[in-house]
Amino acid sequence: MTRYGMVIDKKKCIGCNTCAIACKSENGVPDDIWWNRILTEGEGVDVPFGEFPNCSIGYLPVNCQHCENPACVKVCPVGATWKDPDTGIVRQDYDKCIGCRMCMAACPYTGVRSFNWEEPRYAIGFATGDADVPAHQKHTVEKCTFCYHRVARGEEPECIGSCPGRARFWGDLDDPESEVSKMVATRSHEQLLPEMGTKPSVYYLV
Amino acid sequence: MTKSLSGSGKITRRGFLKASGAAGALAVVGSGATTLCALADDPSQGAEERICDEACFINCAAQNCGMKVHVRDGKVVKVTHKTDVEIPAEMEGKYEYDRRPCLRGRSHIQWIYHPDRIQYPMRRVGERGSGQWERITWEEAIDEIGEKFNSYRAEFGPQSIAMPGMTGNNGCVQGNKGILARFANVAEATDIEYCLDDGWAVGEARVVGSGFGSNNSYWDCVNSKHIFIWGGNHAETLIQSWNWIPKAQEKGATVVCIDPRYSVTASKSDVWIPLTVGTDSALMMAMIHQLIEGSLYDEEYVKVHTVAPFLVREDNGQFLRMSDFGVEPVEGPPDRLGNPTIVDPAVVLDAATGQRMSEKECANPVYEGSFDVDGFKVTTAFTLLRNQVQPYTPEWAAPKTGIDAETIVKLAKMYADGPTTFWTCYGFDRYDNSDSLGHAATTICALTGNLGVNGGGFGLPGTAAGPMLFLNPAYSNPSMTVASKIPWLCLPEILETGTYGGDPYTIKALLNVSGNAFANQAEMATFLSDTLPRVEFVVTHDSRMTDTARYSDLVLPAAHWWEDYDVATSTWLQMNDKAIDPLYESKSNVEFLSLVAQAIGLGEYFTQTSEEACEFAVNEFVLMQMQGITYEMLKEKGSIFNVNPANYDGLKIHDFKFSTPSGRLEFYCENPQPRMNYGQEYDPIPLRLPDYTEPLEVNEGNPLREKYPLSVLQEHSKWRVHTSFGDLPWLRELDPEPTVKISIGDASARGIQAGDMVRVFNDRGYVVLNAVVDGSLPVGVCNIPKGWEKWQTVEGSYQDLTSRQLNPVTLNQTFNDILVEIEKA
Amino acid sequence: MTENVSTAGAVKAPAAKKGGAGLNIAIGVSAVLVVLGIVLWAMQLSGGMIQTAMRNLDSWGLYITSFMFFVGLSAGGLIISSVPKAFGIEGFGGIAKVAVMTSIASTVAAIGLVVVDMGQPFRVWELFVYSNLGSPLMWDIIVLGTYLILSCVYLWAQVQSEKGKVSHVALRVISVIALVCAILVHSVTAWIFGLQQSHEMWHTALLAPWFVSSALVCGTGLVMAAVIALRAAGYLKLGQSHLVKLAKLLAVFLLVDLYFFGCDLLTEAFPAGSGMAVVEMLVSGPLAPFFWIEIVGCIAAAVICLVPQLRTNPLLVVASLLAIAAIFCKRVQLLVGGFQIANIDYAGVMTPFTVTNWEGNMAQAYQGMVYWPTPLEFGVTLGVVALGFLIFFLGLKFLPLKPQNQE
Repeated sequence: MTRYGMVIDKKKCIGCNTCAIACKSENGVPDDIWWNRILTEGEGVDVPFGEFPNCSIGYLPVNCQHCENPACVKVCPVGATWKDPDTGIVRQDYDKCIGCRMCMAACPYTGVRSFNWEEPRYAIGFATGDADVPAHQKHTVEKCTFCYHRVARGEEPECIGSCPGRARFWGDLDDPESEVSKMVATRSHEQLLPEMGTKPSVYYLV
Repeated sequence: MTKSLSGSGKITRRGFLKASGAAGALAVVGSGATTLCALADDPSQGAEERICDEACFINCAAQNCGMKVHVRDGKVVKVTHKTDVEIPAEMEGKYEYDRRPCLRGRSHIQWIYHPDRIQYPMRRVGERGSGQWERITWEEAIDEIGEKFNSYRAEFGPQSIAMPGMTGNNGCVQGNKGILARFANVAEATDIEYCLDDGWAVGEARVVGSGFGSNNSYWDCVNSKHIFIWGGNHAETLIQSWNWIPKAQEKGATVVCIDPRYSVTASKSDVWIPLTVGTDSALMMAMIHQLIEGSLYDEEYVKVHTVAPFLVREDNGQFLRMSDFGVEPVEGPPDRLGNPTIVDPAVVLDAATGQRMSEKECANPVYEGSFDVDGFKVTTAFTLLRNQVQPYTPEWAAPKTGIDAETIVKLAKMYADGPTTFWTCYGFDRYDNSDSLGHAATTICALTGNLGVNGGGFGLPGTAAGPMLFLNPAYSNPSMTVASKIPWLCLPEILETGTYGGDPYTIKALLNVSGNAFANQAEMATFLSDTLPRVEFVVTHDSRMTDTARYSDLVLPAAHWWEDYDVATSTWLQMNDKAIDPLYESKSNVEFLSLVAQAIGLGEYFTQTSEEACEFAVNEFVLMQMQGITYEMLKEKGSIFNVNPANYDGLKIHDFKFSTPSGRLEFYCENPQPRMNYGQEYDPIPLRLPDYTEPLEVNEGNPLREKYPLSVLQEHSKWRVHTSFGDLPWLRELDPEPTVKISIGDASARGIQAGDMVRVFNDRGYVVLNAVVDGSLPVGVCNIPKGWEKWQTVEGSYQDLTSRQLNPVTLNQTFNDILVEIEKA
Repeated sequence: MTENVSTAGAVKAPAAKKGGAGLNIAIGVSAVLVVLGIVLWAMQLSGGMIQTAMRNLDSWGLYITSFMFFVGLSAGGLIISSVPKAFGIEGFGGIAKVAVMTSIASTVAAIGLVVVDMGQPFRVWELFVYSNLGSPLMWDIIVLGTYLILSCVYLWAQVQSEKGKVSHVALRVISVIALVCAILVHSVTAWIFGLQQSHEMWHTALLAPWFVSSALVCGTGLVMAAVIALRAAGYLKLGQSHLVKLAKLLAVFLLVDLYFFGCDLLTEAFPAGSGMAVVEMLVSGPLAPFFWIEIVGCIAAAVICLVPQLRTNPLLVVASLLAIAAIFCKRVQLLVGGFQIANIDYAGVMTPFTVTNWEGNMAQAYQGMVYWPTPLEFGVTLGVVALGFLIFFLGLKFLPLKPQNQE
């Protein structure tokens, strides 16, 4: 089986937000919605913890964790979000979503799922991005798809190759020979909220 | 499903086939077709998507990333990084393709389709800056420009039309070194030198021979043992090149970041030296002191490649030369620019014999001591330097810099434990004493033997001596005429007095093309109130309503870069296709300036279309011809590795042939030159050796500190490049409003909390900003991220605070060299 | 027993006489509010839910709070009504039918609140076509639907039983089923929250029984307030002893509910780990007003119900209302509290979609309550509540809800 996953090297991440913009552009994500958010491990956005000169700052890019045991999938009353058995990607069907936001309440990684609180807006008047990306819909929940449309064509998610810091990696976590599996096997890493038991498919090298 | 598992940007097999298919299609479409863009089948829907080679022309230190731009249904819909580039076999293992357009480059789509883009020509109807406009036609606009320009030129001379040189477009053809220079030269207009970024380069030029002359290719940093990042936040500002730093760290390099604030770069470095703002000079001088007194310098290098053994005459401060002893100078080979040179070797004393002889013939010269050589009282340059830095002990520097003496000693040791490279940006360039910093920094490099070697170098982490197509003289200088150059900082005086360098000089019109001079130059409020009213006619050609456009009389819609052809250059020579037609009534720079030229009777030099101009600029350029690069080849490949094979080793300087008069590193400079010489007065003598200097305003003992206790940093952030990208919705969602970052101590002393609106002010002006309480800053320092325009703030502009104080040597603006106070608004 | 209740006209006549103009006005006002609510709901659907205060980081709000609350009210009424019948003990003076009517009205309101919370209400049919039976929300929808039907059947059975058309045994069987269902509907609603590991405050096994106890508190309170009001209005007669019984029962429920709260607080706080944040948020943080209203309200209501001298009619009404308000406060704490503590509390991009108070930094957004409803939400909620009242009043007007022995 294939279970796609991501490895993000926090040591290399400079918080530049290029992956966030790449995601937004590739997926035609409407204004005010960010599937891929770069959080600052600090007192505020780009503000470190501590006081000069004893400071620390880090960046934590957070997108849908595409959990092996996703909390969102279980609770959706109509099966509008489900785990794709061939890729391990947690998918979302906008046409089916009834907009109850149960998945948002269930997801421990609050904020990775976004609701279209109004008709999708685009400052430039149209959605950018790939032709294969389904149209965004008002009053439905959406989130990172691991660029399913690209993966289906044999490509990587756009945030991977776009990373100027070379901090993002992608591959099959079920294949022990894959680059990501090797990284997870050999490098010290962490996952977000492991205590939730969701088994995320995103690993952070620390 | 099969796919490549490489996460490092290697393209998938299928992706590669698609890309090469695209390149093939491009080759077929090739010449004669109206569009260069390749056609690629959309995999699922069968819809056609054109994929074009484009570039980003904003000046983030001229990185000019190439990218693929996807056009669907006549609209630019997507930007991706290139994966189909060819890297020369010789570079295998040394370099991998690293242009991954950053968040800004990827946001260009929003620039093109921005709802506030200027759509048609407009004429001001209210006061300047009142925002009242009437729509006019291009014909009316060009007629008005022609009429006014013709009358000014006839009455006051061609220099009366002035073009503020800015960096809003680095295109080889459409940009400031392309059509803008061509127009300025043909029209003999005034080309206003922007007075930015060259402060330390003035000092560097004394030592190395030219500003920006001593950097290695950035990918060479993997050969460094120590990497000093001093005065720059490369992780945020040179995002493209940063990836080499972790690579170097993985290979064992130690990265030392010297910055008064805890930047992202500091957080990624192995050592952070939080020196006190404005005290870089003290630290550098103490390091030189330690290098010499601790015998940490590279003795062999210093003897052979620097002027250390040269004998400086006590009477005139010049090197003792063979001509002083009757040996006639001979003509040497012409220099880079083809000018004749004269060889009159300096005299050194041979260590073995004590005899004076030409430095060219002496393998082992004496480099320390004072002597009487046949009646000439002389001292070696090295001894002069030793004497100069004598008082600047680490203990002396410690209280000034806030760095303890032990650490300073350690820093000197680290620097000497090379190879060490010195990466900087413009952090310490923005002070009044920036030239002395460039001088001292390159002296450190010279003493430690780190110039002209792999893993060494000094300056912006750039591309070593790629053929900079910026300067195809055949394109920029088609006529026998040239523009006259004045420094921006002299503009107020010229307009006030009608003279420049003592001669009459009249400027009647400002022609702003691809630049936002008013918002990017110091002391904006004074400029708008006192200087601009003296200009009769202000024309701005831009795609956005910048501050400059808002204070213009005529505003013309400019095409986005991707709406016309151009060629970009940096590490890569890059094709810039015409992805779409210019939107609305906009015109590219070539189209616009050609119309202006025709209107003033200079049309004969402006008959080429943009694409013809691109073809000319590439094909008729000797550096391209030498490498066998043609425009057709560029169109086909999209990107061509733009580094001269001679520089594949990553070095700009080979065989230690420096471009100084002596060919050595001249930390003692006989005749220090200002950045531009227009007859101004300055004292060259104190500039001969590196010396301890203080900033003009942000110095320790400035009594002004009682009134204005805070110094300001103008951080360049990832969210914009100067004022470019300043209004793009994606970026503004992430960075929504103008802020001032205040240290925790200063904020609490003033009762300021995060999110408060505060007024930052000094005698020159004020600005109202949103406060961010930021632990990265020491008490006494605030930080206003650069690039927000006046129209974006509640009131004022941070550029109202800055000073247009004229330093006659550097002619450089000192944005970080200002004091302010902050209060709750 | 008389036969004249068997005709609708006969029911209507006395109601019209006794309920009279007041009831008609109440029906009219409710209907107007319902229409207003529908208009506001239409606005919400067309203009978008951006008009509510709900956002990505606090994705549920007043609607779901009120939903929880009305589920509680509904079950309480039914339990009050069915327990005596199910266990064959003496009831509360024949208020069983009124109690069930409150249940029906509350259930309709609860369902209405879920519907107005949905972004795509016109896809509601998917619930039955693509049902994911693993989702607690689906369980709730099934149980709530069943419960509504059962409540109606139960009411019908009572009426029929009074007419001798349904045997007491059958009624008793229906009572038992209704009781089980009432407890289930509560537990399932609790599970919508309690099974979500993502919010520390929600994730506790106690939540289901606690929801039942809370339901009993507010359900009893509602029934008590309703019967006192109806008695005052002359709609029904009721011996004071029945009220005293109700009051004592309410006191017991209040004490049980407080006991559960105490258990929960202790369990959260004792390890002095992350649960401390929950306790601090409730006791002294942004939700403190709701916490203290609940605690003080519950205690005061219990005191009124337990001290014989205080069991006057006005004070019993006060106690009932305090109990109801306390449980509403509990619902607010539970819902907002779940979102008030972020799992990953690093700062990130703030847009109008991120969090209610997005025009500042992340810390500021959480300084007060992370969520506070907009007027539109109050309006729509009021409309749905009015729908509940409308149904209740229509029931009073058109159904034979009076205790039969008073005819």
